[in-house]
Amino acid sequence: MFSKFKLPNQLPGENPVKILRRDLFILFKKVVLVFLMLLAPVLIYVFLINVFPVIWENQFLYAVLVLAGSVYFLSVWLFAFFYFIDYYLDVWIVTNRRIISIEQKGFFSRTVSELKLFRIQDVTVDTEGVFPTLLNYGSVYVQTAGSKRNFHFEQVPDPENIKDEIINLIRKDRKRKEIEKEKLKTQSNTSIIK
Amino acid sequence: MSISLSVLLYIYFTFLFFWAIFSLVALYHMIKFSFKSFTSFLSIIVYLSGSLGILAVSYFFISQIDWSREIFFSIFNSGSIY
Repeated sequence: MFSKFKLPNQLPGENPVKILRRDLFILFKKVVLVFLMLLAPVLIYVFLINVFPVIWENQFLYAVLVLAGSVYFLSVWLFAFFYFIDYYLDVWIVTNRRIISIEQKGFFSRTVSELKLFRIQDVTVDTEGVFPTLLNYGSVYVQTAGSKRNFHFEQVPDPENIKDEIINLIRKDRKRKEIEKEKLKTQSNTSIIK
Repeated sequence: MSISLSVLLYIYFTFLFFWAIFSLVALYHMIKFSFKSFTSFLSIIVYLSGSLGILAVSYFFISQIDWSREIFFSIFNSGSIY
């Protein structure tokens, strides 16, 4: 459990720089889909009551339709909530030291992985399609040299800017590493002289 | 052959049981893993209010049906249900 200001296994001097989620347009598409799914039975009801009013006189059919309607609305509502959870809990956190990827996969699966900034070798942006081009969202691929595991920020807003920021952070982190190494060297040298 | 209309209600209650379990799992995920923010709090409130609304409307319609009635199936009478 963590908040915006409490990262998982926070390193000393580590601060979150960016918290990324998929573009809001992805959520908007799902909201429209859910809205249409909720509206469909209402339209069917209006159609049936006007064209086949006899259906409502049959107690059995009426009971079946009432229960089926309730089951349908509750299911759509639950799936809408899971859609939102999937959107909201898939997060990529870029800090000044590492990138943390948190992915919610289905009902009972969750993956949390991290990548140290100094290990990153390549950052690629991929914007494909009409909506991503017009609305400026796309994928960012972060690759390392050694490990096969690569990070993929899916459908994030303003991917070019994210790429630039990550590259800047990598430069700063490498400089910090070099300074730390220099400090260690001078410390070890002075201890040998003593 | 006849069965009570309440059989449908028991099937519905079974669905409600599983629906409640999945809802609890969803709420658990949201409370445990989300950022402690206004958005997560609001989404929980919206989900709970929507669920209560659907359940209330369902109850309104369900309570109007006489569930003690028997349903008669007759395969000899052109498969009619009445």
